[in-house]
Amino acid sequence: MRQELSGILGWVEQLNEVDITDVPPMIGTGLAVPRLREDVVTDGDKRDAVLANAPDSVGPYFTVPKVVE
Amino acid sequence: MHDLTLASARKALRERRLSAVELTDHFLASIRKFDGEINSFVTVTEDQARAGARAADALLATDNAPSLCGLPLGIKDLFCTNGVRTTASSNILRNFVPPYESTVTSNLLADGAIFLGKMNLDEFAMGSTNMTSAFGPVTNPWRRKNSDVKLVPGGSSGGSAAAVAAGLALGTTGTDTGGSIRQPAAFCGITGIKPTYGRCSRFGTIAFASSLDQAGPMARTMEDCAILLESMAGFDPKDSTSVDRPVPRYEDALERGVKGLKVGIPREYRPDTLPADIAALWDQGIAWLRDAGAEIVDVSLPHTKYGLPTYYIVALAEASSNLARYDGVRFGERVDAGTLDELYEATRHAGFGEEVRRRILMGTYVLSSGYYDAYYLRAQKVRTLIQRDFLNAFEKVDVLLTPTAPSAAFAHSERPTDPVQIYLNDIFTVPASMAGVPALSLPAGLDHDGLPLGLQLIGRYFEEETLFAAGRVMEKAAGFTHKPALHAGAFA
Amino acid sequence: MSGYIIEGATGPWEIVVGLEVHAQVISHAKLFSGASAEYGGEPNTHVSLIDAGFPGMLPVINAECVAQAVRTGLGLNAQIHLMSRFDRKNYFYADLPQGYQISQFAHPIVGEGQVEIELANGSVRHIGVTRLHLEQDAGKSMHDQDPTRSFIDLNRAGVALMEIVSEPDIRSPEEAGAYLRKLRQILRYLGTCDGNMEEGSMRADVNVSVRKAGEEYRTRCEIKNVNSIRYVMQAIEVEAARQVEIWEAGGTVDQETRLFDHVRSETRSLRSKEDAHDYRYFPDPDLLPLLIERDWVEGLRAALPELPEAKRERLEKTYGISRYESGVLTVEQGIADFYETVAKGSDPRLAVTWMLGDFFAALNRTGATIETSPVKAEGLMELLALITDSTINGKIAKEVLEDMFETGDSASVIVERKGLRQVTDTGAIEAEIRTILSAHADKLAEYKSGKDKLFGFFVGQTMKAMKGKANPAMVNELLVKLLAE
Repeated sequence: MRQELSGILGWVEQLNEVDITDVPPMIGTGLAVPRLREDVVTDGDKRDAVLANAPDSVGPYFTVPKVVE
Repeated sequence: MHDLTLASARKALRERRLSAVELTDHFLASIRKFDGEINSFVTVTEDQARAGARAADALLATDNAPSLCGLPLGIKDLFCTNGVRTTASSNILRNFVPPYESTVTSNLLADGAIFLGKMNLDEFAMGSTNMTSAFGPVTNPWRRKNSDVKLVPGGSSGGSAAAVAAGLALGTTGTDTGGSIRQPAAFCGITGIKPTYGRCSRFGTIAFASSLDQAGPMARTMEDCAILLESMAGFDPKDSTSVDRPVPRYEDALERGVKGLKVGIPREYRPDTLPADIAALWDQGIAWLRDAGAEIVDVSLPHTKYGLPTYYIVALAEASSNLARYDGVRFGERVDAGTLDELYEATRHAGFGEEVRRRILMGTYVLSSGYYDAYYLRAQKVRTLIQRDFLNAFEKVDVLLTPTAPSAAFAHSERPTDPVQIYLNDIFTVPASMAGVPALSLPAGLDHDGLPLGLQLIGRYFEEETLFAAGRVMEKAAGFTHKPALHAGAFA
Repeated sequence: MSGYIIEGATGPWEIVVGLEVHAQVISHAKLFSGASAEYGGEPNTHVSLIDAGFPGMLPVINAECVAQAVRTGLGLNAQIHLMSRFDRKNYFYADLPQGYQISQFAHPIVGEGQVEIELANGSVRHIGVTRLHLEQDAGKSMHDQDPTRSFIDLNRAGVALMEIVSEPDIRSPEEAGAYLRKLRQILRYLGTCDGNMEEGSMRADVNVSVRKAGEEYRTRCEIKNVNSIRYVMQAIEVEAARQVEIWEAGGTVDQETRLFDHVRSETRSLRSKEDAHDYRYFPDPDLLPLLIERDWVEGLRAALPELPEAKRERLEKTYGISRYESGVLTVEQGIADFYETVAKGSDPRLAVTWMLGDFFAALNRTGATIETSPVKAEGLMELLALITDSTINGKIAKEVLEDMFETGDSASVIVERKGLRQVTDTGAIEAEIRTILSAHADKLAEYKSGKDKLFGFFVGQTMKAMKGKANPAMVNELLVKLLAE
């Protein structure tokens, strides 16, 4: 996989020949209007749904191998 | 009874010449009979489909039947469906049952559609051959003349394309990140449209590359796609990138014609390596549009060649982050381990296939400290130049006509081993994705092996209607009625 | 310079401190989802599928969280950026459901500002604020409930935080404490964060380095997640001492992240720079740039409450109170409001003396706060009015206030119930004085022979006999007259 990766990286190097002076990065199509959500509680209180797909849960919690800090 | 399209089935249902239960049973039987070989479905939801069909028949008996009432569809297994397993064709989501419905499928259900099941795809939509699915490759129902060699259906929406081509569904949903609707549509001889970025909500659709992913319909005809897109599209406040614009009645645009329409032919889409069949078909398409009254204009999209490398940087960077949530903690498969880091590693190694892991690794690399400017930022700037190419072209012309893919469907065994060679499949579809403009592919003819070839129409932001109108003119001129080797046959 | 110097073997060392404060935004819902942001709740109930990072779930920015960040920026006299952007900070952790935190890295919503702090010696310093940005909180891991597993609760995941980053302008533990207290005071005045460090709604990462006078900055260490002002001050002290020791022993301080252990009063290494995460920041493609309007910002500015500094100056000017008094009264908005209510209906000087003296003492004694105090502003006002109109004297008033705290009765009810009304009847007082003078003929003789000090003795005896209820001025006046007879 390492060799393939360096192949891909070599291939994308061609972007270096593009003159990007003063070109801004593209952020979206510029057509969507920024929208904000109202500060209202509309979601939550669905623990069963939240936990239903958990590969391992104990009571109301998800679990992971013990983390030592 | 003749060969059904979505539109003709809708008419037959309305006129009560056909019941939704009969229609659904026909498709379920066809799936049972043919999909063993094609493998276009990951999950078939027989019981739900039948129950839906019975309810649809009740509604069809009233005056209140919604627009898609009783029409059986296939849903790409990237759209989350409430209570129905949604896998993204990945082992990591092999048993994932979402407790929610994507906005696109909610819209279809609200309009009365019936879901036959979930369609196979390249794992996490990463691929253009449908060979990276954890549920096995999809086989293209088409065969070369005098050959039994199995061909790829294209990807990533390969299951969606193959099922429509083989008559296993009237229409399907696809998603397109760099060509994942258009390229398989071309390989399978059907029609598919990637609408403007922001036209269909991404809420509830499993993300590959957020700034590119866009849902769209796949079906046999322009009319069928217009009907489906009208239902799938629309503003969704749950998706911050969704655009608040009314959805037109796309069907009404179908017969507008192309008189006076300016059609651009981008010279960069005709590389020396373009196969003669494809070049000839493209010329044929140009002639059809000219004959119908369009004005043909040569245009240049100078940054076209940078589309693919730009696409791979942007898409893989976003993917590496979007796929971080598959960690075996809250959902999905998990491989237990002694420590948290080992859990992540084991889970993700077992859960993701090779291509997905390769892309995550690449995406991680291009975002890493010290490389961000050189790769990701540069790519987003080049992307601006690609977008400007289109905006400049669309000052001169209304629509662009190009081939959809640089080849016809190829055999499983002919799939290149070099990832870059595989990526080249998307060379003509990627630029429109990068700019976010709408584009469709329609079946325009067969190559010398008898395999379907597609042509692509690219339009201005939110001018899907123009694409449908031009597409309809070409569809009529092409008269594409060829059938693949594997086909469920007419509804009897 | 605050003059905080570590005297090392090689000479004096100065410390350089910058603080990154994480302040939880007061809002109903989370930063990007409609789940409740309320503290507490049964585990995993204040969680939407967006917070839990389910496939296909998308963030939408909460308007009030943006407004709160802007208000805070205005309160810190900071630049407000009309265009800001959310980035993804990518790393894996058990309580980070999406595998990235959505944060504002390259383009924060608030730019440079400053906080004025006042030190114990009365000197004033300005601590620069580099930036303030919005980000999501993570969930909570519990490590002590199972022998082999940690448990994850996502109730906090996605709650809005403001990260407020200071310039490395802080030069002593005292300044760090003053900065944090002032910041917390401003946030509370603004109503943008409750500043409750115990519940974790305000916590600090502390960057510490040391240097000789006039030097460039040396390597710093970051002490993560310190959750009280006292610990921040202690952590700076012990970390600076540790670094001085290393430098003086000829070693070098490594850039690293450390934890403060308040039990052992030491910091210890969490991870070195080499192990530091590469967060691979990039703009979150699920969100558009955050654009806000100048007019909207000005509307928020116009609606800002009066902030501590302005309030102090106004109280001093309006009520003739001292700089020290205004400082105490404005520590919390509720106290200042209480004072102003009382001051408007009483003698403002009398009001400040009583509030800072007996009233605060009573609050402390009963464990009440200004909000939960059984004695409201109107109650204190009534008590002060009884003093002013000579119904009771000051000494009796102290007793009445205590009773008010205990029983909740009003001052006048207590005065009547206990018969504490001041005696202003000249005849009664004179009669009592004559009795005392005759009972203490010896003392009277001593007084007359020049022992002036005994005047106080006679005052005391009179007040005692009259159970403290005599008007002290009248007692004085009559004593002078009768002793002269």
